[in-house]
Amino acid sequence: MKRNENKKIIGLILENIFTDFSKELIQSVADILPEYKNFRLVILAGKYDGLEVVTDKQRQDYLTIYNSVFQLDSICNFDGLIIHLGSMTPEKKRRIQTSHFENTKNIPRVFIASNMEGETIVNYDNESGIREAVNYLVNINEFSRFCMLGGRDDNIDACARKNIFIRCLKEKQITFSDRNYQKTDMSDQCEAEAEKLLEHNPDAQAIFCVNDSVAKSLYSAMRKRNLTPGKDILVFGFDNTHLSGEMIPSLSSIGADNCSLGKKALEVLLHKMNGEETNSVLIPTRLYGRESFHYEMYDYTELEMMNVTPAFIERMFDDCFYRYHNSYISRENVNLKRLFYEFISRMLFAMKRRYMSIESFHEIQRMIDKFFEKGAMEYTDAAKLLNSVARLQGSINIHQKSIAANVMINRLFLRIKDKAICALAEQKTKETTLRLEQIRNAQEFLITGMMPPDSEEENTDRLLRSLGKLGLYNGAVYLFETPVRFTAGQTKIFPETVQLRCVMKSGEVYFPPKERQACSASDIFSRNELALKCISHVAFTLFYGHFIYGILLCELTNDIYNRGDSIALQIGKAFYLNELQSRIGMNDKTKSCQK
Amino acid sequence: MFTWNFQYISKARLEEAFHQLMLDPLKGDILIRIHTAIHLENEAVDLAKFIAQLVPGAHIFGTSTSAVISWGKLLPNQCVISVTQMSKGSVWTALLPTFDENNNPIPPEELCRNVRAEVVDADTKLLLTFLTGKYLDVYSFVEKCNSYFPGVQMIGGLANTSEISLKKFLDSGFVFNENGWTNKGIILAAIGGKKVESYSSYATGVQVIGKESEITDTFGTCILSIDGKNAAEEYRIGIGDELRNRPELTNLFPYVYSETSDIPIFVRFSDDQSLNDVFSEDDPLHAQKYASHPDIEKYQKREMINANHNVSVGKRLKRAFIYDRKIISDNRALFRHIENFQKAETIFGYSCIARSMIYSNCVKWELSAYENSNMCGCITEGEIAHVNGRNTFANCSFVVSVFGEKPATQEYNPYAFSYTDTLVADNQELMEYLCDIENKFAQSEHFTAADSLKAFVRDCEMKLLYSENEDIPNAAAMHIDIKLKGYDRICMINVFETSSMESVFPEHMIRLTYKNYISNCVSYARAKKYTVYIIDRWHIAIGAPSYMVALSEFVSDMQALQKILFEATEDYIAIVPMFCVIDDCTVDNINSVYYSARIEMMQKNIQFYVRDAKFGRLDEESIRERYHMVNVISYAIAHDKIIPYFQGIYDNTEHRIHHYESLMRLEDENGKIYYPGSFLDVARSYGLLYDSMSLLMIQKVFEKFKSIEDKSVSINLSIRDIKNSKIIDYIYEFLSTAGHPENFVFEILENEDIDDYDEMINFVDKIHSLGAQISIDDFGSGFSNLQHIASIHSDYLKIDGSIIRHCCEDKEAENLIALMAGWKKLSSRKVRIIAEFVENQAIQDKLLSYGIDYSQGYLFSKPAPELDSNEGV
Repeated sequence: MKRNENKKIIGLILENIFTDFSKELIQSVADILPEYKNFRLVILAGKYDGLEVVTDKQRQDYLTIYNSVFQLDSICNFDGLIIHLGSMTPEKKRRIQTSHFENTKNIPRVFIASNMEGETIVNYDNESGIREAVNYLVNINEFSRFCMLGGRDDNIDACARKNIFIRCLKEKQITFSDRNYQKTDMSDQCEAEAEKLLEHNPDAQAIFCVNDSVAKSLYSAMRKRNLTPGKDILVFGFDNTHLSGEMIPSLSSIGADNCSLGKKALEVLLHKMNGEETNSVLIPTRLYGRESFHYEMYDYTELEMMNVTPAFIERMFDDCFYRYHNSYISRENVNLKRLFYEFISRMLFAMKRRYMSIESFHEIQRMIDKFFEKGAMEYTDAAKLLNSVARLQGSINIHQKSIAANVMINRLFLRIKDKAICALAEQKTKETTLRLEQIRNAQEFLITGMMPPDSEEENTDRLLRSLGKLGLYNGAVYLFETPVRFTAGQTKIFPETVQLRCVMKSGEVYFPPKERQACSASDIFSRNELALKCISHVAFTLFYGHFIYGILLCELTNDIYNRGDSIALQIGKAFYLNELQSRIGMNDKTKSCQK
Repeated sequence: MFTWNFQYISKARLEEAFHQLMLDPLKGDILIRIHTAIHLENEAVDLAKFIAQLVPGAHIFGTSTSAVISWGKLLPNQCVISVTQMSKGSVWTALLPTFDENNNPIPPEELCRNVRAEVVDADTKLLLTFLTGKYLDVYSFVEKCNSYFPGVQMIGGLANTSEISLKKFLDSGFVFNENGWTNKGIILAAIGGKKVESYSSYATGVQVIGKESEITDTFGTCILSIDGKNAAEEYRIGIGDELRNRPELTNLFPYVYSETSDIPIFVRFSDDQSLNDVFSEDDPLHAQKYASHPDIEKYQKREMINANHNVSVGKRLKRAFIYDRKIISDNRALFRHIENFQKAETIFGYSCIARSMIYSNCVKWELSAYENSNMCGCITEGEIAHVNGRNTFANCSFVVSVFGEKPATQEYNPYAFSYTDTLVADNQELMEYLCDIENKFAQSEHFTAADSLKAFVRDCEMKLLYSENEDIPNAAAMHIDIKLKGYDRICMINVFETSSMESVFPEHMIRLTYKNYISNCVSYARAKKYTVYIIDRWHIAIGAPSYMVALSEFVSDMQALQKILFEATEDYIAIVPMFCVIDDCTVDNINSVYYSARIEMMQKNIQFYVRDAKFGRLDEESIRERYHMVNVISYAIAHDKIIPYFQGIYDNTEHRIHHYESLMRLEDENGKIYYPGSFLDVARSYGLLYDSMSLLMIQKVFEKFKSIEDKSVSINLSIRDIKNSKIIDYIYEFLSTAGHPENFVFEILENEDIDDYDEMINFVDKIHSLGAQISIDDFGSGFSNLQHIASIHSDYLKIDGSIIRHCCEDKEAENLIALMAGWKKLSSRKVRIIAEFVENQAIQDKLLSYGIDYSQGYLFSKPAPELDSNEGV
């Protein structure tokens, strides 16, 4: 009833929330959304349950209840949907086309990386990046012994990448047999498969991993054999996630060239929502070279450096801070691209003019500090940055005309490297501190749930009041009138009306008055009460055992990717305990009455 | 060739800089130019010696000046050192006397020979020449150089110093090198070599006016008579009597020698000196002048005009003035040549003190085109310019030489030329004055010109380059920073109502407050590394680029500054500085955004405001949609496609349609029907369209119902319609002749901005007196002023649809209906209540439970072009 008519709600449905691919996908949609006014993003993420027939019934039930969150897409009024169910088996596809999406047929929707017939699909152009890598390795390095760690057979992307890889090799007259291939479950838990591959191919020169997570397993397997990626065997992955920059040595990976999947999918969806005709889109890919496979798109030539053209410096920035142009950069923030131009151009001018004054040295230093202080490292990885800086520095050192002036320039380069590493270290320290704090707070939350009430306040409210301790800042909790008991095969879990029990805005918990709590399940994402500044939410089912209590809606933060489901579990558990406690309490009462 | 400029800070820093440059005379001749405004004669020589030690074998060329040009920027009171190292070419320098041992000036011919012997050879391309002011034969010397060493381009001028006098030409400038200094000499640097090419030219901005006249008598540098008339008096009359108080005006009105029509020659005007004061008869130098004028009055004070060089009888002159558009076009031409010069390795630039004294932005502006180049030079008091293949002595010019040994380019900034507004605006008053003076002069009304001049001069005062806020940039600088340095976050700070302050407080208090205000802003901004600009008196701007400061930081800094300014009012007059932070501004939008923000701040009485310059701008799609709608509306008006639809209103007690509401629809060429939601706002913003639409609609409804006896109709009116006398008169006239005026109900929108309730009440009374009825529409949708509603004697109240629609789920909506039903019961007047948007039976049941009189909605009747009384029954 208090639906905000102007806000449009976009749902992003994914198989998983915690994988690197999902994180990047969600982030790329969430980053670009503020550019379009009056949109709210809701993420419905489940857990992959199609790998094998799960024999463990307990696990199966857990996954089914967990994935009940997918039912929200048909209950709630979404204005548009972006769907990534990864690799869809024919079985799953059938399910989507029939029951699952029955009610959402008329909602504009875009699929990411799938092969649904008759749907609008946004996917990587797998070929361009793979071809680039193979061509480089064969033509420049004259390699001939290639291997691949592939993915699940039910994953169409994994199959496509395998086929393209083999085809590209074939075109170069390089043989590729089953011995050179090993399939995996595409997670970072496939060390065994990686070892198998290495055992079968002791002479492998280059290994292509179907995604970055798999490459992580390969790294571990190689470490056991005392092999160094990039030195003994060249390794490259796919998706160019943050992970690839954080691995040691950093991983070369194929990724979107100038537009991310999420950004493109959102664009297409918005066109579709406007009633325009849309077609499926392929996003070009390129290879991002890092330590595991040195490869550069550009070289810095003397001519370019001497001319100090803005276009040259901009290209350098885009190459080095490759995540920047895919992010939504609010005008209110510091314009990092321009800042980069300002200090790099001054350094190049100093080289050209053979002189740098102390004042401009300090000025540039100030700019560099500002650059990293304002989060430049969020848009690149250490390896990429250090490599780019080293190359530029190298070129400048070759072409410099005054050793004395160049001392200044080199000192500035040193500062850039220092600051970059400091920024990363600071980030890591912050993360550790945060984690410790989270552990402490979670304990507090448990205690709140555990100890008997000391006031008149309703137990549930007391629990909700301490939500902040779980690290939630913005969000809302909807509860059912009474908990729903899940029974196997149940298709409709959520009741039609739910209660908005509390709203969190900037860490403060608000309780709406009783008479305004009732709300149709279809409106849970569109209520005005939700914090205005927060435009991306993730929905989780709150349950414990077979009891489902309601829905948790929390703001999308870096933390939620990894901790979201455990927060939801904590709350579910607290409700369960709460109920148990009150039941025991009642028993106590009845007992005392009997006495 | 390689050129580097640096500002002198200390000897240690200088040493460090030379260390970085690693100059080696073995690799090529080195010219080191020193232009200083901060060293006394001996200090300058000391500096030159120091440099000579650091770079043995370098050729040192030093002059005094009042301001230097370094990297294309003007820096008053600084010292610049510019190093030019040649690859293959040669540099020769010399410091020669211009007076002989008997202190007699060396004749120009002899000086030419000396110069040629010392520095000029067959390969010399460019001759950098500085003289001191004492040598008055400079004009003739430069002229003669053309024949002594033809083909050598000359650039330079007279060395000046930081002491500037408007009354007379000072001769305190000096030239120096490591061996000594002199104020009676000439310093030269000849640059030559097989590969060296150079281009020299100038820009001035002189517009010649009037007829040619001839100098008929002179006394050294003093022009005594022109065409036989007293030269000084004629000159004063030509400019106005204000000249006596404002001698700098002479800078605007130079003479030109007829043979070089746009090279200005300045004269200084004085009226409190005698000939003997200027040309002491004890000085043997002047003996010859007195000898040739035996009868002249030597001791009486007289009006005089003096040039900065000896003038000779028989030279033909024209009057001229400095004109901003000419400055722009001259500079454009100069720049085009410089820009296209192939071997642009080094640029020398020298500009005249005269122009910077009256045209505050001129020098800064013309230099901005070279802002990133290695142009180095200084301010001089007269220039040696290379004009059409000849060297000549001039005033008020900007002279530039560009040269090099191999092809090279410099960083230029041609944008400066597309941005001349500040320059033009700066000089607008000046232009007006000039026109005025010209007119007066033409009508020979010399004496009245003085008054207009007074006001002009006062305004000019603030704008002079060397004003009290010398080091704070102005609006022109801000615009250049916005464009070139990306300063797109600007905070405008202004104090209003200063005139009321002036009527109460003494001037010194105001001045003190002003100084304190400015210095607070400046020191705060500097500490935060922002740039401050003075736009106008009391009006300051603080700027920062978005690549260094996030908006939130900038805003909180500005809030802190505002707090400081408030706090600092104890000993001063209390002022209220208004802060307006404009984000994402460009030179094009900053003013308009600031003005609109200012109006908003005034209206809402807020003192701090953050405004996004791009905010509120419609996107392309909406703009297109808007124009499409305008077309649809115009079409509908022209082709009679305004179509009234009618929706029945159901009587809940009699169970029949009681009356109809008329609703406007438009139809386009393709027959598509448009609803008011899509066209009403557009029509309103194009006022006249709305008025025509309204009138047509009313006419149509009247037409349809005038002959129907048993059906009544309601017509929507907005406050705009009620204010439209054409519509109102039409309604009154119709009603007074209508057979059943009671069949017409006028619905007035309650949520419109009704600013004049009296007018509304008059209308309502008139309608009632004519027998028709009134309804209040959308009751409860705006923030209803119940008192006003009560005072309007309406016959119907229509509850806003948004309330009705939710009354089943929303208890609050239901309460509102109950409230209105209750009010109806309490009211002494007979008011009937209509509910609109009745879409289903559940709503209808709820309404009936509160005794609502009428229901309107899809449950009973849909809007249609024709009446259908059977619906819903």
